[in-house]
Amino acid sequence: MDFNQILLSVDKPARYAGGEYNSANLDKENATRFCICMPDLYEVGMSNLGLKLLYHRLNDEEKVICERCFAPADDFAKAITEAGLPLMSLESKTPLKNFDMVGFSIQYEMLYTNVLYMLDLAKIPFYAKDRGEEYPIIVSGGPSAVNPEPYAEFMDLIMVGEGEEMLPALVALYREHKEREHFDKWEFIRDAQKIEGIYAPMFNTPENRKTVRKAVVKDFDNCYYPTAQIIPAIEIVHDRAMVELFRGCANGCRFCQAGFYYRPIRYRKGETVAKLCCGVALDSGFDEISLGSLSTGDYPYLEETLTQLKPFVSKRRISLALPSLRLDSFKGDFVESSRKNSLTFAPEAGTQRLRNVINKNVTEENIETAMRAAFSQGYNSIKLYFMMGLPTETDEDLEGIAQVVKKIRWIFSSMRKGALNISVSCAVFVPKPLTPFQWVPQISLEEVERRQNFLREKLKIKNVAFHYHDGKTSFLEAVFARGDRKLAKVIEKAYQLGAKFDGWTEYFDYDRWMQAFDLCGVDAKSYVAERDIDKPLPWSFIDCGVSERFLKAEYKKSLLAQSTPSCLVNCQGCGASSYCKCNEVDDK
Amino acid sequence: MIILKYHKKDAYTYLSHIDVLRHLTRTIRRADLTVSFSQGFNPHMLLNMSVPLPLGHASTAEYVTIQTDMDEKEFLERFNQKAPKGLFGLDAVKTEKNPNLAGKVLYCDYAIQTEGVSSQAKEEIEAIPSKSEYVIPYPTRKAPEGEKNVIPGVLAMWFEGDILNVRAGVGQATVRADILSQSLAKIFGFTLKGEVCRTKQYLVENGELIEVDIFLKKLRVEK
Repeated sequence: MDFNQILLSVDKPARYAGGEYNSANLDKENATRFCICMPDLYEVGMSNLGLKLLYHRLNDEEKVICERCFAPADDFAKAITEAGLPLMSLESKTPLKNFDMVGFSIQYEMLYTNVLYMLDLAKIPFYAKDRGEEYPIIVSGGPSAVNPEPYAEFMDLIMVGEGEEMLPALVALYREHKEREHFDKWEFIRDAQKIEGIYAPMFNTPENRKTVRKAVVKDFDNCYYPTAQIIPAIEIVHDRAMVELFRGCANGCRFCQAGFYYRPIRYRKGETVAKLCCGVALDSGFDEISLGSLSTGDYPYLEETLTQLKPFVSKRRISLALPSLRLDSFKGDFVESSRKNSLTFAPEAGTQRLRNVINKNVTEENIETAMRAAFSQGYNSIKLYFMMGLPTETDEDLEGIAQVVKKIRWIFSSMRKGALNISVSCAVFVPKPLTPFQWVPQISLEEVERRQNFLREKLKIKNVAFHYHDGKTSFLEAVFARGDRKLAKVIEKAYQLGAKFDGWTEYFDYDRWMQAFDLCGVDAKSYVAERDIDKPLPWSFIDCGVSERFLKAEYKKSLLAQSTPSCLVNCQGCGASSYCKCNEVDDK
Repeated sequence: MIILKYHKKDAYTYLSHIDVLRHLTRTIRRADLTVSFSQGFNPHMLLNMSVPLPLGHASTAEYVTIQTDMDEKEFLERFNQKAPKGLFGLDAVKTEKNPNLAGKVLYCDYAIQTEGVSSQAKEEIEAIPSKSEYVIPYPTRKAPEGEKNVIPGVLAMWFEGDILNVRAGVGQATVRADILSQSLAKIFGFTLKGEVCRTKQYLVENGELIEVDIFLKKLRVEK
């Protein structure tokens, strides 16, 4: 079968056809060739903003061609394997093996097997130590680099932090080495460590540690943003433009890795955001723009931005989405002109005491005010997000979730007639690196089940739907989030046993994973047990700006149910301002 | 009202009908063309596409009707400045009324390059549409072993050199040109090169077959 016949034989062939509008110019002589690999399906991978930022950033370089590759679905993988073809890039259909550099963007723990799946299809050895000069440099980046140890041995280089400046610097260094009389792959890998954020696992080992400091774009207002973006061939999961308002988060919720990892807080000015929104709408043609951040309500220029954008977007029927509005920052008027459908809030915990423990600074009064605002705006459907298994959590706290739901129902019935639909989602808490809870244990699977049953009983209320996550996925997430280098062989074994697309419930097989742990003689449970606060953790060598001293202090405060105010109130001295000015608002 | 004729080729042949619609609206947005929208909370661009093209088919005769007061020439020029190469505009016709092509088009011409068809086979194939019944293997995803009498859906078949042309029905009497030509290739022992390309669309008026381009010329608003 030729490639076109393969395409016609598989589901959604456009995933593999390439040729999208605004994709790379392949007509460059003597260019360094980089392939960004997203270890997920096209529809998911193409939804990632980081992909677009780095893809266009590299292609803007005169001497660099950047292409893409996504994890293929089973049917396509089978078809190319039968045809004797290796995994190839989307743009020029070049085998991954023939690139200078191949970069995996690893968004979360359950994608680790997909990295091996793609390497396998590309006929590239898994371990860095098994790859000679004939193979490309394999790098990775993305949020999972907070603790890259479980997959470190697969990578030649790992990029920790923001890629807009780090990745072009890395590619430029590669070119410089290539132009030398004799190119030595290992010399390049060793040398790359001088770039801030670059971690070379083969030279920086647990036995011989050097600190790796996360890379940060210091001037975020002028940070690279392509307005002419690659247009997905088919409908993707997040089929809209996304413009970041700011990076970092002031709230310091103690369970939230992103809240600490993306510090310091750096704002884009209102006029910059407005300019980028208009630019991306006209150059890319999206009809929806999402204004992204970790806590949109905290953006100091929000009203100014929306006012500037209003005439442009209403003339062109472009809708603006404002995700991640915090409960206490919800202002009914933001959403005045949009459809009164469903609102999502995340109180995270059911009682004030537990919300203080996790530092989710939302009070009962905040919830009440926000709900009143929402109901008077016409909303009649509410989604609530909670977590289960938080440190110090008791049954009383779980019962508190039901109390919150009952209170909201009471508020609604005191204001309006008709029915209010409430959907309660309860995730299992995963204690993550670089949070004040990085030392705490995760509750056992038996306990997860008991608490889920307990809460399900309490939430047997009319028009209330209760959704909860499978504890087994959360358990493995915790294991890999807090893992060390011993897990590489477990990932390899699980892949050999058939694990891939583990983030998809239909593919995830817990027993297969447990078999892999058994066969490798690794005790999975030991990774989610309590850690000694005075001993170094596998990821302690990663310096993200936020100091361990600060995290420890926050952990101790959490056990006393003491909250820490937002950084917007005053600086809490986490250490992130060592990079650049943090939370600097330009008062005009 | 503007009816835009466009082609569909290269990677865009792998797009579904609804995906093409999305690309057309995004092109119109990039070109910042003034078009009408529906009312309501989720306003959408008022576009009407002609009959769907099966996934994997190229085309040199696709049509979309756009509600706009713009001049046809300016529309086409600006559209093409921002259109993907695979979905380029070929012509634009301004009309008073929406011609409702999706409802009216009943037949289309398809062309496919062949190799190794004997002249006897060509004659036999060209004679097939005049038979009263012609049952061939007609495998689809749902019925891989399926068969079909293709006569009700095939008006004509003819060769131009080694290009096989098929005039086949859409809608109720659909025969897919790709499945038909693959079956014929097996029966008559020849090979197919590249993909099927739709070349013309037809509607029926007063019992006569009219090509859409000619039909649109009659509707054209003279300046």
